[in-house]
Amino acid sequence: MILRIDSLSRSFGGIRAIDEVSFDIEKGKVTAIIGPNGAGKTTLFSVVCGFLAPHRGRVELEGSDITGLPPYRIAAAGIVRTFQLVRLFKEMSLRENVMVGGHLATKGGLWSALLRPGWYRKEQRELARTADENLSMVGLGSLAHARASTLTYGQQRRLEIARALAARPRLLLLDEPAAGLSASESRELLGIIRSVTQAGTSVMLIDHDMSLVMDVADKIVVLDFGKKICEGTPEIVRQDAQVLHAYLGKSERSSRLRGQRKNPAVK
Amino acid sequence: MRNVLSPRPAAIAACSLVAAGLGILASDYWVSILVLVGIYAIVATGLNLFMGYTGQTSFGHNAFAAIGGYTTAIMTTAYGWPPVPVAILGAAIAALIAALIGYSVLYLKVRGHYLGMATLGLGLIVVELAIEMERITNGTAGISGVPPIGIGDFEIASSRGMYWLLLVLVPFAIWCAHRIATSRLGRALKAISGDEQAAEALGINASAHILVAFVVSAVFAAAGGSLLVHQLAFVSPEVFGMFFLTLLFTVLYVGGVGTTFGPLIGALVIVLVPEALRGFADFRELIYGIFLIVVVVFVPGGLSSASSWGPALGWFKAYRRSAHSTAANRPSPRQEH
Repeated sequence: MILRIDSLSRSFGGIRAIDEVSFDIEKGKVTAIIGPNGAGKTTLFSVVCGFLAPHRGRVELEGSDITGLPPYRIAAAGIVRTFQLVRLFKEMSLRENVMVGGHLATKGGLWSALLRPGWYRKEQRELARTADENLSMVGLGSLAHARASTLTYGQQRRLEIARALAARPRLLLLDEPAAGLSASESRELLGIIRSVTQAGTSVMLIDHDMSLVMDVADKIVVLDFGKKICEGTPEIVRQDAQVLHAYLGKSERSSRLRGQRKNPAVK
Repeated sequence: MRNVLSPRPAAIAACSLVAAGLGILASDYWVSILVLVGIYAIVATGLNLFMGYTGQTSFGHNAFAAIGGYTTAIMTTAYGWPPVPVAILGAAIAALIAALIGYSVLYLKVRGHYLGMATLGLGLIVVELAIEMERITNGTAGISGVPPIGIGDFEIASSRGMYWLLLVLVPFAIWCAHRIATSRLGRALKAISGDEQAAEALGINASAHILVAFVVSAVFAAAGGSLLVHQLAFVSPEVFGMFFLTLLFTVLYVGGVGTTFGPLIGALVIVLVPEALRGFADFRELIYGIFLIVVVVFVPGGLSSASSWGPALGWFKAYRRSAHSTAANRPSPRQEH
């Protein structure tokens, strides 16, 4: 277990965006958070990352309490996120974007900037090299010197993941990574997520793309109106009556959920 | 942003030759003008770290220049301290005040226009203190008889001497800023400028980084303030008032905010253009104002930013195309279709 979320609550005015939510995230596994719009998924993410303070509850990363720490300290502790609407450093090159991601993995402030000692130069050379490797991993290796603002939407998403990985997170949080991607881009993303977990990084993701979630997730947590209504493997979640009701509504039932699946064996 | 002038050895050698030639050949009057160019370039280079690379707003850097300038004036005249240690003291005081003010403002996440207002307040307070603390600042009358800068018996008594000193100090200031901008620290600053939340999500403590940029830029401003007071041999609240502040902004924005050589190019243009317009007497201010508007409209990123020449070039090309087609009495390609 890498992350424990313990009866976490956060309200906005009178609305309980997340309400007593508890679950664990296993090391090296992919955990998906799903739920209808307004279920509290992004709020949960923001609380875990320190962008919002929780009103109640606890977040523990490998046993140490990280509840309510500022975002940069949570990142330093090992949780790095991507954003629902991609947030790149648009004026910087792809390589520079990923090198910013390597901020935590390197050292050096004002004095090393001015004096450029040997260890600093060596570390920066290494960083540039690993940045290029990270870019190649997400298929952007040939664009290292292009400006981030020139990328297509799918490329921007992949760059954001490469940048997050450069921070060498223990837990990677992906907020709707497949939003706005084409079917083929979604498949590429799937491959990237798999290789991330194979490298030992745990992943927590939110997505509306059910086929992606069902394919990639080891565990699914379902939220509805801020409450956890189900938790388990894709198979369990798919057959849970409460989930079908909440997520798909009464009329369509399971047909839509099954219809979107690309694996006919499960039908 | 890419610079038109990338620091190539040949370009640097050519610029050094021109600068040295001017130091030998230019009249005393023009040398004293060029000294002002150099001093503004140093202050604007510092401000560029904060406003250009880090993308923050400060309307109060005249405060730090005033702190440097007044420290120099007071300590060298009333206490007879030597100029160089006094300049360092002035920079240290400016850094300390920048750190205190910056800490209290930046850690409260004051940003954007609000940061602009807060720093504007700082500038107004410092200038007001310079007026009111008459016993040590001599109020609005100011302090005259500031000795020239120098070490021991070696004094730089003329503008020409100051010019040679600045020929070392201005490149040094630009070199320092360039090194910061291209380092891990500079990358973090640019990231904060691009998207502060995204930078924080990658482990960058934005407030602390902005504070570092604020303090460093305050040191540049204080150094420039000390030099200016030595050059004028005089200081008054007006020296670092609103005129100084607006000049600083025009230098920064005309030259190119967030570029290596923008502040220097801006200082050259902003100081030299009004001088060149002296012959136009009453129309001078008008022509200067039009010039500023033209630059901002047609070269929005500043004169030294390659990408911002786009609108001007596009306009120029469109003009040439239409001129060409009219001259040849041919319909333009668009009309053919």
